Amino acid sequence: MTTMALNAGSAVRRPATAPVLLGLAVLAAVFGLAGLALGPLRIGLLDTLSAFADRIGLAVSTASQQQEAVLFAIRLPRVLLALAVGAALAAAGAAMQGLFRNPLADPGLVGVSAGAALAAVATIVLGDKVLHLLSPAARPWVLPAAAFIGGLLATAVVRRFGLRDGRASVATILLAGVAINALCSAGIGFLTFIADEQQLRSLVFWTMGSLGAATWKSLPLALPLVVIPTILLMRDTRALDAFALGEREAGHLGVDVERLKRRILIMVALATSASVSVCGIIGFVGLVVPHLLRIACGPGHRLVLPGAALLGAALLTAADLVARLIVAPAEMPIGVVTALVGGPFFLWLLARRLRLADT
Amino acid sequence: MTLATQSVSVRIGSATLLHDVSLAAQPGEVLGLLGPNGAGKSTLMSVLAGDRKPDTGTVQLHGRAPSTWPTEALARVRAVMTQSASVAFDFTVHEVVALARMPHAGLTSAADDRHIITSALELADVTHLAGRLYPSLSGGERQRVQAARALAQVWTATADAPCRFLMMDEPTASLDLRHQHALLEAVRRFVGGGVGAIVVLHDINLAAAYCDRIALLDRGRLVACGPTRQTLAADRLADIYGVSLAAIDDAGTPHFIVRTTAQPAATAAHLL
Repeated sequence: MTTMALNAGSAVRRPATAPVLLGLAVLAAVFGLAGLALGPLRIGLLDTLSAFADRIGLAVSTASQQQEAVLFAIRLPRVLLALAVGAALAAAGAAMQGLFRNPLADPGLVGVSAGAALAAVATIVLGDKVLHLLSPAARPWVLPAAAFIGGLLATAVVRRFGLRDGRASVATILLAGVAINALCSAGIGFLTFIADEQQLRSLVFWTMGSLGAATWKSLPLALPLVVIPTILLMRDTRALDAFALGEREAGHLGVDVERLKRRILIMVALATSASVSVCGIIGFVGLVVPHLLRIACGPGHRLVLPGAALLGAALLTAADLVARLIVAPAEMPIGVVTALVGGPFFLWLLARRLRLADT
Repeated sequence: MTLATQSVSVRIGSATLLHDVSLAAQPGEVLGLLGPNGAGKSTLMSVLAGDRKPDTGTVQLHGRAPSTWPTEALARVRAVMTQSASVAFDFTVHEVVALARMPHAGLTSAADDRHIITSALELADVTHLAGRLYPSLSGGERQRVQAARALAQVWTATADAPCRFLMMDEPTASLDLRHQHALLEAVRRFVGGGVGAIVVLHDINLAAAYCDRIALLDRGRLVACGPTRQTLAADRLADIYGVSLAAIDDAGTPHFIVRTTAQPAATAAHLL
């Protein structure tokens, strides 16, 4: 091959941002609709749409009363939660990868998932002693609240270790994250060891993730905590692009580097803690989804960050559908589905990377 | 005097990286920073760029310490090309250079930005690489792309200050012979009424050919500073670098050759 041909052949073209984002939004909407219509009780697409149209007074619902009950009381909150959590985990993953300048970073890297898991498991195993002191209305909130605070605390500890003279060292944060993750795992291991039969069941189920906890009661609190930090992450897309050049270089381009690091860590910790506290641990979404976007559309964060949020929303809704349908009427933990799909896919990514590096 | 240090000292622990350095850079000139390894060139550069506050003394950019400038306004007034040439993720060359226009967002039009990026790519001789992925480039190509990025950042006048500064830390380190000269030639052309360049160089002959003034540093002190011809004296350089030097006059430009004391290869082989 001549040099000319080589240069011409390797010129990279990027797709335009708006059409890609629009397409992904449509994909999320389609999977959302499928999530509403499909399940052990089938509701036709037209019935689903007419039920919604009825609610806003545009048409008369053709769905049965039972179908409407399932649709609005069970599936709608669940689909909304799946969309929100999928968006949050994927966007948090993309932001972490940008911040750490490492495509293998994951929201869990700063200890947020492990901290939330430890607090949740502690609540399940040791909570009995305290729970009966609370009013029955407060009891269902204890576990998510503990998980949320646990996740934030773990991140705060990790960040504290990385701080020196008011500057956060990204490398130290990464290493401190490894240590905190190990410590939390040890704590979870110990609690699992002393847990009784019934605690063990709920504990295992929680650590593998489920969207089953979605109710209209929990959503008004959970959704804003998941969605608002995710949206706020979108402010820093340009700065994250500059960050790819290096911290010092981003500073030379006018990025307030310390503020950016603080902001991203806080938003990621909030979004991930809130997600984990309502759904348990759902792996691979934060790792794999941003990769897909980068492969297809390039690494620019103005596309990757919102694109990951939309694709994450679509894929987690699809994964929840699989989790609900595959062993119906029982339910598979959604973390098992995402890991089953995400694991092989990630291996394929690695193989592709090696192949590309060879040529 | 628009970018100047006054009696600047920088210490880390017990080590003194800079001691009592007073230096001024002007628009319209290329100022070369020279000195052996560990002389404090990069430290001085980071003080001038506003990355590091001096422990004693002051540094002023248009009358204010760079560290007190709003970061975005500072980025419109001075560009820094560091020795780091790594870029995370598969950005294209064009995307990397386009980042230079980030601090100008909302102040220059998209068409102007495009024109500036194209011109900077051309000036650094990387136009043919624009569509390539940055991680696929060689070390020298990456360095030229980083130079294009620094040029694009301070390409046009800004309302923030009457002039801009281009700071480059060993910009020619990975470049082949032709591109070493081409890049410094480009910097010479770029420097005009509104822009001054401060360039750390290791090659004395490149400095002699392209710098208007030279600041010679040794062990954290400013040993000499002045017009290139007077400052680059063979005996002074020999003293600082600890080598034996001779100067040759090459059509008005001094050219330095190192007198080696090592045995010629043939003799050394014979000794084995």
